[in-house]
This record gives sequence, C-alpha cells and structure tokens, in this order.
Amino acid sequence: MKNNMTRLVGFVLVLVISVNGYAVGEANLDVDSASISIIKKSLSGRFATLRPLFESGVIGLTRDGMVAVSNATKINQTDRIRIDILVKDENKDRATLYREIARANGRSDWENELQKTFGERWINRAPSGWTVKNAKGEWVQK
Amino acid sequence: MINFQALFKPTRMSLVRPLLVLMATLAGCGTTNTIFYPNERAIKAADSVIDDIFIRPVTPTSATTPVVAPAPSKSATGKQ
Repeated sequence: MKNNMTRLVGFVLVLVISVNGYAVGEANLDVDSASISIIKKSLSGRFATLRPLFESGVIGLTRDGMVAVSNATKINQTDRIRIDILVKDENKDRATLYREIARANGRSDWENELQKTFGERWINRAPSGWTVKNAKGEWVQK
Repeated sequence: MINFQALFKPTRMSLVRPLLVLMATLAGCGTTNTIFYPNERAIKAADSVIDDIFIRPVTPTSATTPVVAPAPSKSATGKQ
C-alpha cells in the first residue's frame, strides 16, 4: 500500500511539473512592469520631437534597435548639438528598455536577443520614407 | 473512484511505466521551452511596445531626459 502511495505521489508530481513547464513556456513576455512603463512613457514623449527628424531623414533606425544621425548635411551646427543629445537620450532609454524587459521576464541573458528583435521590428513597423540601415550597413529610404 | 491498488498491480505496471516516462518527457519539453529564446513571443512583445510608442505617443513633457530604471523588484527577478 505504501509502495502504491509513493508511486501515486511521483505520478502527480511529474504531472504538475509537466503542466507547469508548458504554462511557463507559452506565457507572453511581460512588457508592462512598472519600470518598463516609465521607459515607454519617456520614449513616447520624445517621439513627438523625433518624428519630424525621422520623416526628413536627418535621423534613422539602425539594425541594432537604436537611432543615429543619418544625414548631418541637412542640419546646421546648433541643431546638430541638440539632435545629438536627443539621439543619445533616445538610445539610453532604448538600451534600458531592452534590459528591463529581459529582467522583468527573469532572463537577463535575453537582453541582446531582445535588442536584435526590436531592431528588426522598429524597422519593420516604421512608415515608408523613413531612413533605415540595410543589412550592408548603408542608410536607405524605406 | 479510481482503484489505485488495481492500477499499480504488477500486471498493470506495463501501462503505468510508459505513462510515467511520457509525462517526464513532456515535463522536460516544457522546461526546455523556457531555455531557448522565444522569438515569436519576443516579436509580439516588441510590436506591442513599438505600437505604444509609435502609434499612441503621449504629449511630450520632459522629452529629452532619459530614464534611469529603478532597481528590480523581487517579483521581477524571481520569475522564470
């Protein structure tokens, strides 16, 4: 009888581990933690300032999920300084975003992969006419 | 009511053992899913975040100030 109970407990344990393993494997990634929400708010707040720069091709999207000045000839020296600061702040927030998403999901080791995925998706979802980097590292108009 | 005594009779163990092996294998697969980078789910998550920023941007206030993320909470780091 005791032997049977041991077997039964083992069976139930395996069942629980199995179901739990699948549940974790299929869950959506958490992108709504408090820290991620703060960063998203900062990024979306800055987007209104960056949008005309994207549309005019002054700045563009890189393949590593960041932004960079793509055509400095379109701007004067004063604007260049302001835009450089904007780009630096944007990239700092983006790096924090990737790190926080990885961390919120308990997988800090996914940070680089997430950044790569975001790099592809930013470019994929950018409107036509924006400047993006192609696979050869050249600035092209989408 | 399941008669577990009957289930674990030596003659029935030929059925129970493969079942246990199958369940253990499934458990292994479930765990393996969490080891590999979930590309599809990451794309879905990225699209959701990008939509929030591109499509539903908020009115800028202190737009040029980068965010310093707070220290991770225990619940955030403890999840697997």
